[in-house]
Amino acid sequence: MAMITCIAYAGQRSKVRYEFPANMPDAVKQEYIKQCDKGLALYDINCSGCHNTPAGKRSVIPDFSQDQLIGYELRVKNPKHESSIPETTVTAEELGLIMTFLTYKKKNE
Amino acid sequence: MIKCYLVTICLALAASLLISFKDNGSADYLSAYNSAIAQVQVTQKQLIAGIGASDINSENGKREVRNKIEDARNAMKAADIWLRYLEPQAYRRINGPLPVEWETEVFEKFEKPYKREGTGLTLATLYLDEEKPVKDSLLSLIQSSLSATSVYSANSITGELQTYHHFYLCNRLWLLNLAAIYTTGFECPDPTLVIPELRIMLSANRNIYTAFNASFPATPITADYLSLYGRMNEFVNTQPHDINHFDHFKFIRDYVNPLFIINQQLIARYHVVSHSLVDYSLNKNAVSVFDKNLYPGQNSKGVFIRVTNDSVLAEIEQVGKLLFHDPILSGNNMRTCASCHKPGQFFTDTAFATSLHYNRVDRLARNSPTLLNSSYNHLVMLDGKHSNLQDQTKAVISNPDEMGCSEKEVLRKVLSCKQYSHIFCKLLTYTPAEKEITYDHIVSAITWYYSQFSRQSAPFDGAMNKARNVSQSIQSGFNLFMGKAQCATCHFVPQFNGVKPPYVGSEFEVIGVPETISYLSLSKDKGRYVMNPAKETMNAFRTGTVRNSAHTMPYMHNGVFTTMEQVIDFYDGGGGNGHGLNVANQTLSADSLKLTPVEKKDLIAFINSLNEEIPTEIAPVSLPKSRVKALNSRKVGGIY
Repeated sequence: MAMITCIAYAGQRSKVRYEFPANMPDAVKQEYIKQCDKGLALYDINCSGCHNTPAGKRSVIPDFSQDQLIGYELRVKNPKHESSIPETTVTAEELGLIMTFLTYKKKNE
Repeated sequence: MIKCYLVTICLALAASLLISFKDNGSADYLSAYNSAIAQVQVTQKQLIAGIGASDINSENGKREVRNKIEDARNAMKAADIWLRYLEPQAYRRINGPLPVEWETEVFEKFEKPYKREGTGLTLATLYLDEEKPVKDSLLSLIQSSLSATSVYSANSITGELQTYHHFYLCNRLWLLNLAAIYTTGFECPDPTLVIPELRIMLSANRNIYTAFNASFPATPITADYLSLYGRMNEFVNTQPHDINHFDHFKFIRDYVNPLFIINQQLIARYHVVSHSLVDYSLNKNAVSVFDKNLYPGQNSKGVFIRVTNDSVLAEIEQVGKLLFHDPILSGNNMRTCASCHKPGQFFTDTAFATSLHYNRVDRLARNSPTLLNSSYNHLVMLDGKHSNLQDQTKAVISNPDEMGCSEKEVLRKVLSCKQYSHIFCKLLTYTPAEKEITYDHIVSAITWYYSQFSRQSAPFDGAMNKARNVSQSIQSGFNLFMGKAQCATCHFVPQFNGVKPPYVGSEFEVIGVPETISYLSLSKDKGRYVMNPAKETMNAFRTGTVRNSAHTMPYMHNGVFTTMEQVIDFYDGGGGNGHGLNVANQTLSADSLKLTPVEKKDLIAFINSLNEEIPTEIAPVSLPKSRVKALNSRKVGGIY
């Protein structure tokens, strides 16, 4: 049983939904939604160009496993990240927001 | 169909040829690696056997063990280029400088400081000198070192050796360490062995370079590098054994830095890719060890991180300047950042040991450090409380002792000024994650503003880049700094702060600063202990930069010393312990450095050569008008 929150998006990307644990208190959830929204905006700027896949006229954000979302290791695990998301382009705090977003993004069907 | 089979067979043959070529190709290099690691293990095992067979409480026994430690150190140094880069944590167990280190590295900035235990050869040497050393304790230090060495045979590490990429990154770190620590006695408890060990390292690396070029002929280390490297070997071989008489200045200026520059060019030419967190902070585009872009310690742009347009950055700088001088950020609208970090005084307050309290009566507990070069630290504040400049700025604004204003109030008051709200609204375009103007926009403009003053270089940087000459006294002073005066074991090249290669963490030291200049008692400030309570962190403070010291008096966390001579006398006398205070965990030797008056003068000449050419800053003429009339009487720079 999970609570789902939707956000609207005006671009060509598919609408994004978040999925939070059912027992997450509302106040906490609202904070997470704010964080996820920021993470989504940052993902769009820094990651979508390489990671999104086209699906008709829209592009889809892929699902990432938790193994792929290990903090600072993101910077070096993927060799392309060394030049695409160095600390001078995406801060550690922003990387955290992107990972929060990807963690709670509802999985693609 | 037959054609298809033929193509498949041809492809298979080509692939097998390619694989066998790769195997043969990397054989020389891999074999050099494997034998170097094996040699480290052989000497460690011989050391263990030697300890077992010796009476470590007798002079003869100690001598035998010391000789075996030296053999193991030499084998370790011959493999140093790989050991320190490929598995830095294992290296710490092979030759850790301290039994316990508390760390927060840049990529772990959200984690609490954690404890890392060091073992190995340096600690074994120190332990052997203790009164009545116990054999089992000594053995345990070396067994841990031996077990750590086995890590270097793991597939995850040897797999990296199959391509050329790691090599240039290993070499880069090694060259940076040559500049920063390998000639200073850091991690080598016997100063008479520093230069002999350096020679062993240089000679071993020459063979490693040959093996690398045989194995990776398409991406070789070039003839100009090898030629200069040969000359560096000759230079070191003609230098005295004693680090106190070693010409550190020429070594770095004429050899280490030029080799680093070539290595950076090769990294770019061969499109070297890193797979290691060791490279996290290092900038591939830095053109010298003394390039201020060598490592980006802090993101001074804050939320404006992705802005690269010069005119937009200039606009952020301008609004940052206004805010820096605007008392609107303080609770009583009378104090500014410039109250304690005066732009005309190298962004510090040179008039007082500690600046005035918010209440205008008392004094703050600590000296206001200069903001210049603060962006080259990974942790900020003297106790390392914050991991980024923006959090530090927020903490000062909200601190009731300093500026006493809440986030909500700051936002309300700043946005009541049309000029501010107009600029920040425009800048929102560059921060798409934020839908409205936030506190982060405000503090990011401030940190970007003052960080512009940290881009300047000093005459010493110019000398190291061969762009200018410096006096013999300055060169002698640098050699003292790196050798006899032991300054460089904490203040590392090139920023001369507590950040050493690979520039991912800030170091803290316990030096025993007195409460007053009469040395009657130790300063009561617990320092890092407040942030991270542990016996090692009591009275520890983050090591600051020596740059601009001539202009940033008074010195130490409490501003107890007003002249550079007093500071040098403090160190010369062995810190707090050397001056009769009881500092159980002092990380500085209590022995006198025995510096002569001429040496002290030279040391100061060198420190003065680190004064940067900071542009003169003129405060804004006026401040943005607020729609709240009461706020419009505020004064540029505040009133205290």
